[in-house]
Amino acid sequence: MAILKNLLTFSALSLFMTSCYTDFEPDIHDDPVLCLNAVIECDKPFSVTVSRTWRYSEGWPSYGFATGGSVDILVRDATLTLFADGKEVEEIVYKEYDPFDPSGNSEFGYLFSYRPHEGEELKIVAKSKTYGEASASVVIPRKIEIEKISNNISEVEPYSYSVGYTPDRDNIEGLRIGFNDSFKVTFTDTPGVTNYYRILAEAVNPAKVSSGEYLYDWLGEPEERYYFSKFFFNHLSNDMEPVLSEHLDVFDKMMGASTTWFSVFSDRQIEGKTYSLSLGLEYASIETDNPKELETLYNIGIRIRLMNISESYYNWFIYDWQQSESTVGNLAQIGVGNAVYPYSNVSTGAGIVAAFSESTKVLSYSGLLKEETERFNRREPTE
Amino acid sequence: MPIPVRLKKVFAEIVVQSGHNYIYSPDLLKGLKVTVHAKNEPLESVLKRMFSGTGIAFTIKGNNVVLKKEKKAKGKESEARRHSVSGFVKEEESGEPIAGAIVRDRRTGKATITNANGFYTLSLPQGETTLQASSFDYIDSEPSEIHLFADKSHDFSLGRSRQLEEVVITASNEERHALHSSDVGSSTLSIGKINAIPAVFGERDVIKSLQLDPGVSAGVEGLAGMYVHGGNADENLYMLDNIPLYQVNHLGGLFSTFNPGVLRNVDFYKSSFPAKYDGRISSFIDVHTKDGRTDRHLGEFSLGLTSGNLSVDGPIGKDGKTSYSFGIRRSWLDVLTTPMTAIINATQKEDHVRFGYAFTDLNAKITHRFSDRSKAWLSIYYGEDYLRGGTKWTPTDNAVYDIKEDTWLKLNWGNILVSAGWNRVLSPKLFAEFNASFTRYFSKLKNDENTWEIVNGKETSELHDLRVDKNSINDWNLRASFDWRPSDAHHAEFGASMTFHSFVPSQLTRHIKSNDFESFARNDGTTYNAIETNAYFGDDWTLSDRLRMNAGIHASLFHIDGKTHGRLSPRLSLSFSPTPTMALKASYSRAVQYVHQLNQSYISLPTDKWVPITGDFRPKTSDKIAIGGYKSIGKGYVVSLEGYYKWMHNILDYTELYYLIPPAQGWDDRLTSGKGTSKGIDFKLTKSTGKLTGHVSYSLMWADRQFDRLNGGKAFPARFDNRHKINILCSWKINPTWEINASWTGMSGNRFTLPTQMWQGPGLSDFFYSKEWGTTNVGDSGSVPLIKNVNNYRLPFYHRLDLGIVRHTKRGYWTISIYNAYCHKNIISIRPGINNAGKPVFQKLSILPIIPSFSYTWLF
Repeated sequence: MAILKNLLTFSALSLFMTSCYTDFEPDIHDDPVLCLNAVIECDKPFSVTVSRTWRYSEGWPSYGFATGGSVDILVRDATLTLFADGKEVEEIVYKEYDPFDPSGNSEFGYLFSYRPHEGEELKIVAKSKTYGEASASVVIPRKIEIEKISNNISEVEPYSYSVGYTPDRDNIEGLRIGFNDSFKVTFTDTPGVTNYYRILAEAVNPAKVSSGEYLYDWLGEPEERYYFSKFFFNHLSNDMEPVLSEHLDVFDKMMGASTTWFSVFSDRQIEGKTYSLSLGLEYASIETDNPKELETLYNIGIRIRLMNISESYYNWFIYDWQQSESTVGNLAQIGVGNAVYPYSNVSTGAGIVAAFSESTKVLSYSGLLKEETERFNRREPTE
Repeated sequence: MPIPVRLKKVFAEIVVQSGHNYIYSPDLLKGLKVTVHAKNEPLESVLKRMFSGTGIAFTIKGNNVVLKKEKKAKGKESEARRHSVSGFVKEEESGEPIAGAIVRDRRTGKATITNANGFYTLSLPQGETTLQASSFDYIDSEPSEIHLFADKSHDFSLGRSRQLEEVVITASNEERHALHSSDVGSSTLSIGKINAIPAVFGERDVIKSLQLDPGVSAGVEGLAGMYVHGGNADENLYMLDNIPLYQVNHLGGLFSTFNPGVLRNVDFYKSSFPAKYDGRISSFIDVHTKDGRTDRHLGEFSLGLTSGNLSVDGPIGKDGKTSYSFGIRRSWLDVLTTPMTAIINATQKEDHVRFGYAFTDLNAKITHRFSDRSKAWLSIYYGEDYLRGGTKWTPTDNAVYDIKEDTWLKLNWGNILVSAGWNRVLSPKLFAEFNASFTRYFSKLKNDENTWEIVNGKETSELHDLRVDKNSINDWNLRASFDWRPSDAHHAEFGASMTFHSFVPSQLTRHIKSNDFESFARNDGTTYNAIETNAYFGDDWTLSDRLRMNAGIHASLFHIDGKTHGRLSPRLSLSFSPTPTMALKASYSRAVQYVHQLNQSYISLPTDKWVPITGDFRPKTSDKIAIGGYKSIGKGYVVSLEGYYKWMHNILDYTELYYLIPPAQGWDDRLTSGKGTSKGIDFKLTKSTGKLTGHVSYSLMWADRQFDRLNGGKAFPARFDNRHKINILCSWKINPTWEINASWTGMSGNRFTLPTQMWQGPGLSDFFYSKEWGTTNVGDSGSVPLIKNVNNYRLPFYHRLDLGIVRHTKRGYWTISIYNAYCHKNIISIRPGINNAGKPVFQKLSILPIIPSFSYTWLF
């Protein structure tokens, strides 16, 4: 479908092939204001990034330093006050980075230690002597449990790869397994409440184990051999899942607007129901070097994360998609459409304060890995 | 049949034969003619018959006969001495009616103007009189001697003037509107004028011609936008022979749907509105089509860079009573894209594309003249944009696992109009027209995706995803309109109409079917039926030789969704002519609008929906006052200066965050209501005669908007708030072979929302990624604009020169057009960009360069 978009773009460009851009500086004066960004997880302390807006032509933004052409947008002089359900619970100022922190991993920034609860309404008020005030509110969503995940593995393709060479130039082979998978992630939406969701996935991999040996690469460079298993994938496929494209109208669809990477949805179509999201896994791989068949190295899988996100979280994604993918957004960029107004729930119009709760479930691939490892070790042909 | 003879001569004979003495003023008999036959008849009887209706009274006293002017009797006695003469003014060659022609009585000096059907009527004193008809671009008729002793009909046929002859034209369209009507801000566009205006790709275009009028903003460069006196694009009522059309653009607004090959003329009203028009709050554009010639078949075929056009008209049968007019225009872009996609597909094994675009306009009309006083017609218009595309992916490498896809998309949108009408001269003072019509506006977007999983060469699971979005309006309309001229002083127009609307603003369906599930979802897709009734009455009242008033009212009722909206739209305009070549005017008009178009861009897209007023929204209204001064300064020059102030209420726009409402939820939730004002001055100097014609115009305008849910509730300038606009149009007819046309446009740039401050996004990455760490980090997510003020920046001054050269040949003519002849890169938008040094900078974007084009028109 992107071909149509490309064809029409080509047609338009062939008409506008002598279009050109001219640099200039507009005679408009705007004062910077505070920007608040935060992603708050239920029952965990959280940080708030307090920055300022900047004039676009001022330079590229950076946090905490400004070098050749960049502009430091970090605000350090603000006082942040946190309210939970209308009651003040914490007040903080900027915490500087401590280079002498014994852990070597000093925290810095605006850090709240408060752990918010489900259903609580948080309000953050920031006051800066230089840039004024900003505030934002968000309700902590309630967790929605993943009830079950069913899957169907297909297209298993194991093959060997070179882990390295012994000093005697013997090739040590490891196992790589390519496969596809399709999931159904089942959960039940809360009736009578408007919920917004995000679905994510991440690999679960065990810690590697030192072998005590050294292998050599093809250049003859030695490297310590670690026994390991690693699962990785490109992305989850949502082509078979309609709720992830509810914001897409027919014309956007025709113009090749993509929802391939889109991961948020609302409960408009599934309100109060038990629903199974249909997702796919493409181009997944497992790599392993486990000649001693260490049990811990079989603990691989995929962690599915079902996040119940705040409305601000969801709206931000819709805005981001609208301005980058939608036909209207593209037309606005060339001046023949209305500007796409950014969404912000901060009083200054800059920033997103979002929240979420999540439930996770791990789908293990240890069975697959064991079976293929055994087959590999016996060097039997795959069924 | 007896031939009238000069009264003076007859009377001289009577004097000789009767032997009486006659006492009278010689001037009394001047210019009068009589027909009288008498033999051995008493003198009194003969004199009575001879002087009947001449206004001369006689008294016989003995041997003396005294003649004197008859005193005017009051009341009915006076009326009996006046009669009506009515008829049609037509083009000599084709028989087409000529609207706006002036018919003048040379005896009394009274004049009238023909209506849109070429009909005129004059109420004149009984007796001999001389009438003459004239119209711009035509040779004045020979004076016609009329014996007006009873109501009479008389038609005029005017021949086309040869362009190079210095024919004295009695009144151009400009003069007619300026001096012979009480309208403010009205004009008539002839086909000749449309043809003379050079346009992009050489396509003659009605709307692009109207864009050269002062007070009309074109919107985005190159497109057929009409933003009249600060209004919006959907606030102009386009009519084809008085039937409203909804979709008037092709190819995103690059061309309008009006095929100049079948048009007669275009009436345009932008300030004061006649009582018969309502339903939009900015302007009214009534496009009149030809009836068809009655003498022979004539046509033209033209081929340009983007489209071809065939139009032909002529008689049906030999009695000259029935004629036809036919025109078809079609783009031929698909002639290029079809082989292009075939070539692309031939080089691809697995991935094939489909693409095609075309637009079509078809006009057909049959007119039958029952008599000189009665005519009927049937006309059809069909216009459509059609876009199809898609892809087909068929794997050929016999992989163990693969995906096959086949996607079709089809978009078509346009209008169908079917109209039947009948007009008749009911009496010398009353002209009537009855009309029934059906109009359909349609827009359909269909996306059909099929996906198969292929395992070991066999299709396993299949997913079929069909999305359809429809928008349509069906209008059934009955209309009766009357043109009544009860006396010299009054020209009344009244009528009524009823329209049954059926709106389907948005019907979204989605059908998903796979191996293990099926779902069908449809949004509300409600059909809104509405009944609209209109009645109007307007009278153009000549109070005196210098003072004229047009007063009227248009009443409308719009019943929809259980609610009835009713509005009265009063109209008033006054015209005072201190001299015959000068007029001062003032007007007030109120207008109401019950439908509006939702569009998120300034180009015409198939997703632009026409929707009725529903929910809590109220009909749009406007109140407009205007004043104007007009002067004809001889030799075809007319100068006008008009000022106006317009208030707009209940106008609609999208809310700032409309996109957060899913498409399936309904449009009302995405809109907000507000108000606007506009004010300005329009100046125009026109030259209509001679080898060099054209106009110079200037307009000064302010236009703003205020919505509670936009811009923080603060007022802001309208997008097309072009403060200054200058147009210079010249048409030089060098000789019968060559003519050169030039049009220069200069105007203050459009308004643009330019945010200069940016903020850093929250870094909520959208990728499914394999990672080692925990929750998302707040990091960089790109720069996000901070929009504080809407339309806060004015783009640079826009100007361009368009040239057209026409070379006439024996069989037709070549047209060479150069759009933007000196290639001025006009800025249409601004973006945040990056310069060559990698630094962020603001950048102005310009698109259209010089565009030469040519076309050939073959006349047959």
